Amino acid sequence: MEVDKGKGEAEETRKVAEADRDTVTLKSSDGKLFEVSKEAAARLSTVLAGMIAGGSIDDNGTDLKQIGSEALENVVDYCNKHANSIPSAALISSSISFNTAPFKEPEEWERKFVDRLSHDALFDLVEAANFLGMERLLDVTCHKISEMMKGKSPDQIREVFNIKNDYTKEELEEIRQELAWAFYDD
Amino acid sequence: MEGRKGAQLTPAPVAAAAVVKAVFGSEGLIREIILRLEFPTCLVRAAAVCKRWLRHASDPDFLRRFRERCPPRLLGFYFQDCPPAAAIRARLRGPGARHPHPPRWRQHRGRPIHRQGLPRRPFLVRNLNPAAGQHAVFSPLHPTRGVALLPPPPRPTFNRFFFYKADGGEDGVMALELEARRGQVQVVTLQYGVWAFRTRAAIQLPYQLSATGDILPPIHGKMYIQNVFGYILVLDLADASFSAIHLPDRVRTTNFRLSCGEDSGLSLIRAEGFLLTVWNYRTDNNGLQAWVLVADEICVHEASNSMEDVFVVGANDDAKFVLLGLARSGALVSMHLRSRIEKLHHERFNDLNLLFPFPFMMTWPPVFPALREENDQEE
Repeated sequence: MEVDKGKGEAEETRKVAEADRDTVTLKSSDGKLFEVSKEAAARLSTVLAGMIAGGSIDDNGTDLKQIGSEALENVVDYCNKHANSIPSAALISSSISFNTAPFKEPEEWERKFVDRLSHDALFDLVEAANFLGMERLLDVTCHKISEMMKGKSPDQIREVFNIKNDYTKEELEEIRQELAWAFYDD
Repeated sequence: MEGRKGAQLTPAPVAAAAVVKAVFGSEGLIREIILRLEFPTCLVRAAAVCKRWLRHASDPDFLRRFRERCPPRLLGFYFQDCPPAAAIRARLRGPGARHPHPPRWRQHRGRPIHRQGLPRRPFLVRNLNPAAGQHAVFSPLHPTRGVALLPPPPRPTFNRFFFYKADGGEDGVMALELEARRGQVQVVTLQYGVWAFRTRAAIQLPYQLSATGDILPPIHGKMYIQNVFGYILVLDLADASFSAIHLPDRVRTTNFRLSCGEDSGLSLIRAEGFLLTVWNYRTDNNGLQAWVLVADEICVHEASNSMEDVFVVGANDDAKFVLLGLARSGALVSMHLRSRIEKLHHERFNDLNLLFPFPFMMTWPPVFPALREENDQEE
């Protein structure tokens, strides 16, 4: 898979790198190197854009101590896939100017991208996207987590996400009574 | 990589606590996630997960953002399939919580009793004992709250019930008797558990009334009756007088419905072919009360796609939502007028002209019970 291009080859490409090279090298918390298109990184991540503009990109690998290698691999993977899907995305956003759509749904490839992730990888990726200021990736991953909550009862949501119930029985009953319309199908 | 992919097809049902905790522990991230729940029903269910989520869900700033992303939705609607009949069916649609499956319909027997203003909760009046004229008011959305019994009205012909705002701003109940052929209207209100006549004599109208016309619930002391051709009758409850409003010139058929809200005033939604036109009755540029055109040539795509005409069959009380019937297929379509978002419902009806559906909205914003904060300092 082409994702692997980010790994071993990074050392080699770095040697021939010029000042105007079109990729940046990112280093995960556990020391792995990943290479990503400079253009895509700058466009998709406000944090990386700031670093590139401010010249604080390290050719030996910019340290991202908060992001593990698995999450960073997914970030890079997302950037590459996004770069490849630009034509369709650009077409959609420029040719249709409806403002009836309340928000932009994830595209088919973005859906597939998050669907293949495990729970842990998904949550790690949300954090990474948040840290890197990647608005679109954050949108897509948060959307995926919210999809996992939709149509579930509070009990089921707690079970899926391992959340402790800190309500008393009476408090829960009060919510169910006051907002019975939301529990109509139960 | 490839091996991992295969394993992800069935993700573990329980996520590792630490990872989830980090994301859900971040105030910003949990908000971003529940903001995308899309359905108010899902938001309320999420708020019932834990107290911290409830605090986010009930924050006014958050609710404003939620509303901006998610246009208001219909919670459901009632319909009566034949208004003058004694027993009227009303059905209520569940809120579609089991996304993405279509919501179930539940059937409640009773006649809708409309209540103006917030919160827009549907109520039904059921004739418990036709011989004794014993009616009961209940809310299908609050099945546990029980029913309120109404004393039998003075005559069984007082069979249209409404809520109205009494002088003190409290909810009052009134019943209306409409003698179509004689053109007489008589109103009684419930006071201290007894029905009291508002006026000694029935209000005599110079028109014969059609028995099937729509009557809007009273608002600011006025009731609008849509069953005289070419006019809308306005019944002033304060002095038991009536007046008439001419329909807009362009309204030449009965294919329209009225809607009246506390703030929005009287609106008229008319259909012609597959196009809708909306008027609002208000003070125009010349300082006169007149029909002001609000929106014209709104295309109902579900109808234009299948080359059908539409009937306006219902509107909610601030004219935000309209319910439309497709003439040939008998399908029901709801439309949010401002965004023009249409939704095709799955039900089919034989005679849409005799249908009086009443759409009702989700209560928004959701009013969460206040938490006792002293239990709540663990974090």
